[in-house]
Amino acid sequence: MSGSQTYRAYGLTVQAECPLPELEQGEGEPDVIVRFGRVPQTIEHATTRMVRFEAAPGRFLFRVDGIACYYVQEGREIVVEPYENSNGKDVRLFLLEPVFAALLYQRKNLVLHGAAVALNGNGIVLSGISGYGKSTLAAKFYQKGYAILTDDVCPVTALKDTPRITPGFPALRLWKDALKKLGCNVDNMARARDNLDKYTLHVGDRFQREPLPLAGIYILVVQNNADISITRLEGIGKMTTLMNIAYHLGFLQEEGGKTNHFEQCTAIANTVGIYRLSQPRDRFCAEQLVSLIEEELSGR
Amino acid sequence: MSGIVWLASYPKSGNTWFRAFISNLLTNGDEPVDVNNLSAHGFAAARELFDDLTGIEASNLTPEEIDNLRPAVFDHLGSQSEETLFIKVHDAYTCLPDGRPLFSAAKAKAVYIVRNPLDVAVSFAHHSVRDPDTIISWMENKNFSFAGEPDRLDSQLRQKLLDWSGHVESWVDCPSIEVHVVRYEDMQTNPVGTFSQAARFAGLAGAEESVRRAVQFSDFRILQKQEEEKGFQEKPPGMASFFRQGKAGGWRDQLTAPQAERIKQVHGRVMRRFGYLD
Repeated sequence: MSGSQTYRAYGLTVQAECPLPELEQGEGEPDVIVRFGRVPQTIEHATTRMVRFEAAPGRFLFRVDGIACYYVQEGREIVVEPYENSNGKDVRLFLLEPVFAALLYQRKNLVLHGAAVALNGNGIVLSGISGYGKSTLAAKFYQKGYAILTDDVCPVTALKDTPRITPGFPALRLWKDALKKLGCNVDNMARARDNLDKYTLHVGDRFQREPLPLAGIYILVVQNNADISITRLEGIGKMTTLMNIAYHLGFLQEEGGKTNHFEQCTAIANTVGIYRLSQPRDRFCAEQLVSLIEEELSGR
Repeated sequence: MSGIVWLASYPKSGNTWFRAFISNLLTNGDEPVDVNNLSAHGFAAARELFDDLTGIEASNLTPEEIDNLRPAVFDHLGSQSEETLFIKVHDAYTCLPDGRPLFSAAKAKAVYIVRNPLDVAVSFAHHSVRDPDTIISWMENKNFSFAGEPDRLDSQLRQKLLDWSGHVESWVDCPSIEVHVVRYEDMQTNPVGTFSQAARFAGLAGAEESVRRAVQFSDFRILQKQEEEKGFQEKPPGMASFFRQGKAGGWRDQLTAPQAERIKQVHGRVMRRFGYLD
């Protein structure tokens, strides 16, 4: 491909026709090609058709109105068709997270919805409903000197040996309010999208580039009582929780994909601690949550 | 039957109580359903619902982009479900800039629960831990929204409520959707009759015995007792209890005469329409 550049993301070498400044440079034979082109209007014999995505084994079509349509094939190629006058940053935002998540599913990865942080040679996943502070807590770990593996799309491989987290790319996206609470000045930061009060925190200086063993999964929940608490899940609760924190499981339409997903979740549930991390609704307590996780991990 | 029955109301107007009734009726069990696990099927402004059905994280969209997609989300939900879904709504019934209604009429109807705004003001003040004057001005604000702060991520999507009168009329006079109006006060004075009528409208023509039991199991004192014992996850922080008094006319002890007068001045026309003002 003439004029293309090579990058590294989610453990893959990505060759792209367009600059992807959010990613680090890569080299070698590409695992994935990203190119501009026409995407199909629809997928014939789709096994799922939802409001803005449809999919069949090896094929995934995704539309973000006014921004771009994306078509992912066989875990190898992403075709991007931007809308006229769309903003390149917006096109990349949806490419690098949901579209890559669909590609990872096609490649038989388990994809969790969460941020991941490196602690003492291991990786932990911070998950939970949007708005409960996954990225904010990851940013607090980063401020305390820990390295980041990913912000939102978290690939895990769990079948052959110890479950491992594969790094995504070196950025966290944070809302202005959260950044203020973290003591960051947003004046010099770039917005994730021009019309959102959400900013990109580049973490290239402390980015974990190699996969790490998965040492714990922490599900953030918000409660009405005033206490912070950590509860280790046991038994079937681990499995249901893991199934619930998959990244848009509807994207997964591969032959045998659901079985593979279930087996990987089982392997994780059998070997990794899964915790519910409760925080009060009306108080910012990222600092205490970091300490709680540090203590929990060091006490094992 | 598939489709959606919107359980619509301004906040603090009896929506949770009504959902508890519907959940008890659907479950038709031997004991009251858990108030923290109501089977009536969810909330129109839930972020997860939008994210799951679109594949797009609403947290990466502007409120206007989200609203643009919400009719398609609701259409999908209504057309794919094998059973009737009962979904709580606090949004007013508004239209998008291109004229499409936010809540599409395809396979949908609505139960609208209205409550005397004098009591709404008191209950909303307790709920929000604000003074009544603040709430009264929210209820007058034609641009009032829930979860509308642009600089943070709320667990709910932005909901345009309009002012109290605007909210009521947006649903009750909605030309494109069949609406059954339930007065909160009638749920109290004539629960079996009021809930039975609403259930029939919603297509739940259960045996009278089932309706009676569902009414009994969703009695305010049972909801209150469950909250005392186990808490209530929808209770906002700072509020002492969600199920507080559950009675009509409490405003007489809680609002000053000028506060009550202000509400009557602003919302008098709609209050008169529903029998809240002579």
